[in-house]
Amino acid sequence: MPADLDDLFDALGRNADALPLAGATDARRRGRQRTWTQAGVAAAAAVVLVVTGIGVALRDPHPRASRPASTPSASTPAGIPVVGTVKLGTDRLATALTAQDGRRAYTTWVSQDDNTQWVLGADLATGAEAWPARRIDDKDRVIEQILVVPSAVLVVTLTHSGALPERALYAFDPAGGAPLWQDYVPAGDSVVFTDQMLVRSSRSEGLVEGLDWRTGAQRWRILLEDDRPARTIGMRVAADEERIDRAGPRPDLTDGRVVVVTVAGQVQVREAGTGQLTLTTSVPVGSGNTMVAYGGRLFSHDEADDNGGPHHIRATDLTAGGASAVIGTVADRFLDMDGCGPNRICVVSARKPNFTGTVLTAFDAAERKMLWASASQYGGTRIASARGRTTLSAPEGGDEMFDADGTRIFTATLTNGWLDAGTLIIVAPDGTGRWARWSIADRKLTPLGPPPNEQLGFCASTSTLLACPGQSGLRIWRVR
Amino acid sequence: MDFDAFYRDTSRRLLRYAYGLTGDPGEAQDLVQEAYARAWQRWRRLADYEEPEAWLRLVVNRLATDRWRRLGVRRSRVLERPGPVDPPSEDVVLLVTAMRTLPAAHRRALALHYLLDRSVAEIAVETGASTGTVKSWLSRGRAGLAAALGLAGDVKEGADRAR
Repeated sequence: MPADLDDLFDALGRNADALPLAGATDARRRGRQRTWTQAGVAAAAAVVLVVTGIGVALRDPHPRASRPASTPSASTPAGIPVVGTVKLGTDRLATALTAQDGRRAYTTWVSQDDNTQWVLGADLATGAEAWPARRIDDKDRVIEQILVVPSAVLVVTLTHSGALPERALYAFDPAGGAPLWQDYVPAGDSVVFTDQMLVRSSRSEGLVEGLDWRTGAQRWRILLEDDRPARTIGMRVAADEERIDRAGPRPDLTDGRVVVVTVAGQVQVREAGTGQLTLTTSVPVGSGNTMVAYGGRLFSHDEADDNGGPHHIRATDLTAGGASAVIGTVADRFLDMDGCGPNRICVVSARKPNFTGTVLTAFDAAERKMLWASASQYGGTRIASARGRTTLSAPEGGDEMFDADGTRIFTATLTNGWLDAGTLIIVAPDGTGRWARWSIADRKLTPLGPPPNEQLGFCASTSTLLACPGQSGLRIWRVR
Repeated sequence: MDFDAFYRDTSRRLLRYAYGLTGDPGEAQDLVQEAYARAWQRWRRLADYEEPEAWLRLVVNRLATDRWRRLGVRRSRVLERPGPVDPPSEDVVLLVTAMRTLPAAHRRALALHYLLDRSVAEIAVETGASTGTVKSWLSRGRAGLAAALGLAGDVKEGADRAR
């Protein structure tokens, strides 16, 4: 036997070279079969019948998404009118997310039975199935997001099926559920969902590109190889806030602009539909993950302030001239910020010494001044805003809403979230556990009835309908 | 770059690598097909990569260390194996048995070095490790092989290939 590793490995290599290997055609076929599998729910349902009596386990896949509906002990199913229920083929949901486009609800879920992932469409008006469940067959993924634009329903997962962590994008036809396309993007890339185009930027590839929603094909591409794109941000405007629902702020944006921030701090405003450059300016390098493009401005905080503050909050005008100025400061630890009304940015920061208490601070970008600051009752960290009112939600539970002048107008330990831009859906404060509608403008409480006696996934809503996945299926209630 | 041409040019090398990592012909064949299936799904982007072959090796590397998948591969392998395989020589059996005793990082470095003729510097780039670390992996891998083969005093280190 040779005792030389070269000889041993040469023998191993020769042995490998002699192994038969299927061709490229087989690899293509395998890849094609991998992704799209249409299967009726009936087959899965037959299996599920023997798996009963075990509650669903729901995980929060997306820290910025709204939390699952609470499940008080009320067991009376009557009360809130049910429009319809579409069976999901299992009552064991690992994760379930929902989106709506006003006409239909779309839900995607992972079954605990076999770890398969599905997506389905339901008609909101009738509660009937609009298109049957389609299986998304991919390995090693975590479901992250579902969103709907006029020409596609997009399911986003984080997957480890490639060499490095990636986001997998699966697009379906909203009309019939037919798979349209799929794509994989490195997890570090920026992906912005606009009505016009899906915009992606990649630092490693040095490019920004626009992908057609219907086909996934590249429609435009900008190479930025000398000063690469660090991130791309979608411009959120008031019209987007009007579309807030139970699922939270809509990830798909109606404004036609995206903001590309390069490694060197150059800011490029581009048309999402064409990639055309409309404005160039610059910001201090850093603070990228918390940058917000809102109402024609880019808001950032200067990264040099990260250790201990004070944190300078910067507003850069993206409509003309690109003027940039510090509009105020927050103390201690910066956590997050988001637009909260015309010319306004709201910043949440954590207070010393243990950073469990948080403060919400509102700034006026036009006047370059702080408007108000309010300590959070629950240590809230997540901001959502519409019509100048802002909710601050705590990871461990507890929501509060602030009016445009900083007045706290609502607090609750159990809130289901926004029903629409003018309404919250809450657990009634009378201790019964019933659901109720709370009108933000007139602060009127309207009892709705007991919730279902099951744990629900992430819901979506219109002003009148609430769609939630749960053990019994995707259920749609009339709530107004 | 055309996927079929890429497959034709690189698949044999990838099979060598997969075989070196797993020591199992059927599993290596399956890993290679799986890696190319995933590459095909991402071909629009992958075709623009400077080193798409390195991407494939990363996938194979990850899959080879994924115990769940390996169990799955073993279950389905009998049906999926594309053709008859000649039995490996005694030397190869001994080597792959010895390789299985090594940590994954050592196995990976040895497979890149001995089966794909990659230099220490190239392995460092591919793995994201320093050249010193790669040298350490190779050295400890060789020592591990020697111990597993029971030939501690006899195995040459192949220093002539260590560039």
